[in-house]
Amino acid sequence: MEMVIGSQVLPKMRVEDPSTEQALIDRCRRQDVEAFGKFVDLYQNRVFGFVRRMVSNPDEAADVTQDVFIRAYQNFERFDGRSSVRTWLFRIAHNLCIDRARKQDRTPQSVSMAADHDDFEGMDVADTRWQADHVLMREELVAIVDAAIGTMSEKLRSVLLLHDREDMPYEEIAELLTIPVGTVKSRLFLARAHLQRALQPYLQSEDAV
Amino acid sequence: MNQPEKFPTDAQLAASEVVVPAVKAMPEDVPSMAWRSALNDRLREESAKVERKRRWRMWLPGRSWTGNGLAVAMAAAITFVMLVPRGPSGRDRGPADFESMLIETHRVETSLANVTGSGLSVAEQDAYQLPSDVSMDVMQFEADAF
Repeated sequence: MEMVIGSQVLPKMRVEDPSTEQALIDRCRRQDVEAFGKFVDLYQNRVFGFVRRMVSNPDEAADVTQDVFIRAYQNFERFDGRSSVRTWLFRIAHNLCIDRARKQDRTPQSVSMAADHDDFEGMDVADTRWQADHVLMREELVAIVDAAIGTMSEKLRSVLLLHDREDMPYEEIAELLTIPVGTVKSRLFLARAHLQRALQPYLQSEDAV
Repeated sequence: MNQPEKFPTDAQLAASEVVVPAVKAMPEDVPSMAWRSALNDRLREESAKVERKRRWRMWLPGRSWTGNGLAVAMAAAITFVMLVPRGPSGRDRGPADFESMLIETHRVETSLANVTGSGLSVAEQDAYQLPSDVSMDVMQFEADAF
């Protein structure tokens, strides 16, 4: 399915050939720099996108993303393949983002994790304008979504990005963040509820037009 | 008391998926060429480090039996060198101490020879309480008079 933002049509996410990727991973395990360059080509945009939303400052995000790949290169020898390479790489990215946030003691204005569980019942989600097939995104909307994600707590944000942006299954996210699957679901639900609330004014103004 | 965590049902989660397209449709972030170039430089440095480590590993003990044997031999050699005493046991005298001892011995021997000549022991010399510079002749005279 393709998404439309204004006049821009976004392509589907790349799906790598597993055998090619496995061969690449084997070479990366031997710390082959050339192979690792290809590995960076495959993942740099996704990792940078994740880190940029976890670390609000773009320059810092660029630095952290570099650190992610350097850390991955240094430790590839020890990558045992028990989890997917994507999980492993995003775990490194997530940990470095958390470390950076702790160092700077810069907790973003956060949505409380104790958000009422009543939200589960009270959320109005039957707006057909948000059916995937009919989505027409505008730059303004992108900015609103970005800002809303930025105001979430790190815990909600990471789950939302990993699931709704990176298409990771609940189990993989649970493994990556070392939390139970149920907690992943709760956080995802709260994150989406927060996002929907942030989008409400936009929807109302659309109604007015 | 902590309340038990209440998880959303799959139906609730599915219903909340209405905002998912908005998240998915955010434009892809592409790092700059300068960023990539800087990363390549750092990777080259790391690669050089890895290469140096590999060279070391060729010499340092690895996981093989030969490597383990070599490690044990090296450890034994170091222990031997550190534990085995380097000189004779007892008080370790310095060269200056030894030299002064030699000179002193020589001085005593010389004065004894000067005073007593042959035939008189140190005990005999002490018994007469002679000054060390008394010649043999004087000593002989006194002995006769006594």
